[in-house]
Amino acid sequence: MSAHRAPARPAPRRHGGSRLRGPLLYLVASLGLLVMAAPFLWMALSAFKTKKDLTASPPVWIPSEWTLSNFDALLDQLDMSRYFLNSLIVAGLVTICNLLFCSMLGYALAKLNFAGRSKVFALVLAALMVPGNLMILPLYVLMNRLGLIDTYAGLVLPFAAGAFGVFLMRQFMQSVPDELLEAARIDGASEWFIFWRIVMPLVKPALATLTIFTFLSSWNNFIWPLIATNDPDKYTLPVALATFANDPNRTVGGGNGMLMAGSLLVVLPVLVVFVALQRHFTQGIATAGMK
Amino acid sequence: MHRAARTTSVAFVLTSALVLTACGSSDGDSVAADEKQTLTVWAMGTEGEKLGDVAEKYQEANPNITVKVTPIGWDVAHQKLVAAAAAGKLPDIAQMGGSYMGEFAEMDVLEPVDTSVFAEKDFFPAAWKQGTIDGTTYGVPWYVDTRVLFYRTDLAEKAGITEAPATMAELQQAAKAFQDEAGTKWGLSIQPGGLDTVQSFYQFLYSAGGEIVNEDGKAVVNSPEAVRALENYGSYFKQGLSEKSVRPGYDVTKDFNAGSVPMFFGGPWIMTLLDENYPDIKGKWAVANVPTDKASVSMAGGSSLTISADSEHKAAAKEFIAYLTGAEGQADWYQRTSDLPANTGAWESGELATDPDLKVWRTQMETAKVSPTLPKWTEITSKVDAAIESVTQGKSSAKDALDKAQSEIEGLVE
Amino acid sequence: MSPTTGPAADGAATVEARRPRPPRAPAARSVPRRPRRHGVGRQNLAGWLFSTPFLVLFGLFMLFPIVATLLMSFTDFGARNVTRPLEAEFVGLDNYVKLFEDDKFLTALSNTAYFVVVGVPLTILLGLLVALLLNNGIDRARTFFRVGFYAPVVTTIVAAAVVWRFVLDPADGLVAGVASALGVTAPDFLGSETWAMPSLIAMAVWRNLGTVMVLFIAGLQAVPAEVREAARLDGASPWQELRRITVPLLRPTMLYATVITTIGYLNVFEEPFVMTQGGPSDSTLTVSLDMYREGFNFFHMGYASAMAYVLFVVIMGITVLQLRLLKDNTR
Repeated sequence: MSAHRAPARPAPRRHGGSRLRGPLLYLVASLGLLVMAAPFLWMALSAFKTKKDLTASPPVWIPSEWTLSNFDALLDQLDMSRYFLNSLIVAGLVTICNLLFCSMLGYALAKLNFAGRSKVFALVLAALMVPGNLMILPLYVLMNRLGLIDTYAGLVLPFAAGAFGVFLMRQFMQSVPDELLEAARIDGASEWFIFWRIVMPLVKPALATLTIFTFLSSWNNFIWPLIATNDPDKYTLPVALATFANDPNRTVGGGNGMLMAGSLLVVLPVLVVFVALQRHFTQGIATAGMK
Repeated sequence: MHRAARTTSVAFVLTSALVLTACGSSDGDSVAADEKQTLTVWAMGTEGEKLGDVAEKYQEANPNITVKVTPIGWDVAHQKLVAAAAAGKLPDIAQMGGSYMGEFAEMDVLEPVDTSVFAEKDFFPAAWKQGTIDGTTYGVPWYVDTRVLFYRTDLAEKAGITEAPATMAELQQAAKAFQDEAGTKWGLSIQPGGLDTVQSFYQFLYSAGGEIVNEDGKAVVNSPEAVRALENYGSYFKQGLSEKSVRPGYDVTKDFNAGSVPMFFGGPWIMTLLDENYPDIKGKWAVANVPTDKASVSMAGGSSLTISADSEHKAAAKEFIAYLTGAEGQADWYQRTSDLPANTGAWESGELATDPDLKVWRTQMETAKVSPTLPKWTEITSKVDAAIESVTQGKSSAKDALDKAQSEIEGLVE
Repeated sequence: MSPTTGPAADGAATVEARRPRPPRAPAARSVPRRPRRHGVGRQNLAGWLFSTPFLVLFGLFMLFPIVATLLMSFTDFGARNVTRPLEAEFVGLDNYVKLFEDDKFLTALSNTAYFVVVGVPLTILLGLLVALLLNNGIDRARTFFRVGFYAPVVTTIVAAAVVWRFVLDPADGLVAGVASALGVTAPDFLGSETWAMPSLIAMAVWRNLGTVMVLFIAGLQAVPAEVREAARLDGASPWQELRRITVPLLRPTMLYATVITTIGYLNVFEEPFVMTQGGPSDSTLTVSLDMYREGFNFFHMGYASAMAYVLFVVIMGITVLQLRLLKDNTR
């Protein structure tokens, strides 16, 4: 399959060693793939199963009869397009904010020698380590006072600049050669210019990574949107899905199919983002920096 | 730098105090029932899904009222309710189970039930009691839930069992017979350990005449009755009649269908579940009352409807609840959800009065026992869970395990 | 042909020696060059300006909850204080003292340590291997493989739990089936105190491998192909190439991956929550799960907050240690 071809250069590598190595690697990778992807496949296949297959014991992998009834039931019970849109707006905004803010601070921490840098970095690390579970109650009280419950702002702002992202960008920006920046500075470029026009294009793989991670975690974020929205019109996808079929006593059996169908719908956009962005992993710093 | 740090921290203490206190309860103006208004209702799980339809019907009859139902999943309901209570943002009406009501009553966020509108005698005694804390009732019973014995009649025949086990001794004999004669993998499915194992144990404990905490609020979990009940419970594991390790989320109906588990204790929704998912075994299973030890006593559960103390729509909320918990509304609700009505009046006519299976539920419900509504109840039962687990895993005797639980629970009830 | 693919015996040096096109900033051109120390002042200002958005958002939305929780940890904050927080009684360090006498918490602490000590190295090592495999060994259908290995990260925990239970089932599970075909009896993984934790670790490694893999693949792009080519021309074996060139150049990524994986594993919650509920007999009870129960099931918010801060201190200590050991080269 020509699933991917490196855009700039035709794959130049020659596998050294024996001719067996290539096929052997594929064999290993395929086996690993099987182990890794099996539960995902299970989820995807289960979404198309009838009740009979879902409850069969021992479990069946391939549906004996394919059905869309799980999706029908789901769309029937939930206003999926609205939840989808809400999720897209929230995850989109969170991702954009993170790309910008985290890169900015990451750049400052990696490449700008300013007084207080180590203190800011320590703060970022500390923010990274705070166990989040318990913060929710005071945060809710605060957001309620600010009138941000049931608003997009209330869903986006607490996650608009994540410490993980800052740390990630800092690590990647460290590998940008200092000489590049010095040269630009000598030429009189502003720090913003250096950041935006020189460093950012060089760390595309990192930006792609950050986009994938941020989008995924925001898209799947569950507890906060659950607490911070009371109006079903503002529910995000995972919250909406959780409102049904998760009665611990009743999730068994038929509910599972709908849950799997819902999960599949939730997961697909994340996979699209991943597939779209992973190609940036082949445009390395060396190539980009030396045009 | 140091001084700056100190000032900021003081500032934060102050702001936090301000933010946290400023959201205390405001009594609010109350709106009369016949004015135009919107009622907010939070309901969980299946109830949350189905209540919307009933609300629509209600709005047609009462054009001045708009009912806004927010469905919430069970596993997250608690956190959401707590956050809302902290911010003074509870809905006008919330569905709550027994343990929740104890907790939220303690937070002073629930409005006591108006006993001139809702009468105790209309409901199952256990259901009413579950919403009563220190003599004040905070929830009107909406639907009830109890556990009865489910068993496979076709396998029973194979095992030479002609009637449902009526006593605890017969239950164990039946479990053995299923295994030996009908070749089932297990005899009876009961939970060996983990969270809420106690729900599986209640049938044994209550029927033996034991309790965890008695009427006077004293811990009595190591009473001779309780010890005997736990010994009986543990013997199923010792003899290999019950599975020693069961994962959370274990779906017993699957094994019931496959025939590896011929008996288990289950709630009313299991009937719907079996009918819907396993039409193949229809007519091959039946329900029976909990086998008698000293008596046949099952656990009672279910949900009540509560009104927030901060609500500005108490009058209208009361009317909506009266509609939902009245005999007629309850019968309609049963048709929609198969939830067992809490109002005994609803059981006087139609299917509820005639169906033999439903009779089993009704009889069981009349004697069913509700857990005391103590704010620390979840914590108390977690100690009992641990005791049960140590017995089923053969780590300690029933007596030792319960003595330990007793001393822990004594510290929690004071 | 792009210049990057040409033979470059001194590849590493070229990258650093060559400059990009000079930035086209006409206004900047006319500014006379300044001595270096002015550059420091400029970097100071820029540094703080670049930090502002994060610091503002952090100050607004994170600091308050963090401080509030810290305050709570010195009180007996319980259910009744939800609506009357100021009535919570100040108990000083009682919660913290009690924690270290609480057998359950100590068990949770050691379980969590077990989880981290075994889980983190496994995840990092396997993640690196997969990244190398998919970056160097696999040219065809690369996207396909990458998506496949990333799939566990996006799979819902519910679906993952269903399949993992099926895999680990002692009666008709996948592993049990293979074992019995080989003539051995597989243990009751989730039901046994010895095997429950390793099973959860396996599941966590499986779930987090994809994240680490993505990080390493992205990190590998920073290793110029020329450098490796050069090493190969010098006759370095693949192993030498890996040890001498790839791994050292991956250090910032490695540090990041290790730190976030460790933090994530120290906070481990979902796996025991859906698979074992902490059982059997608390053998898989982790600090986060214990905290969740104390805080939200039993409503000892004060006590749970103290747990959160103990965990915080532990995480901080370990992270600082990791930064030292993996030689963070900021300074």
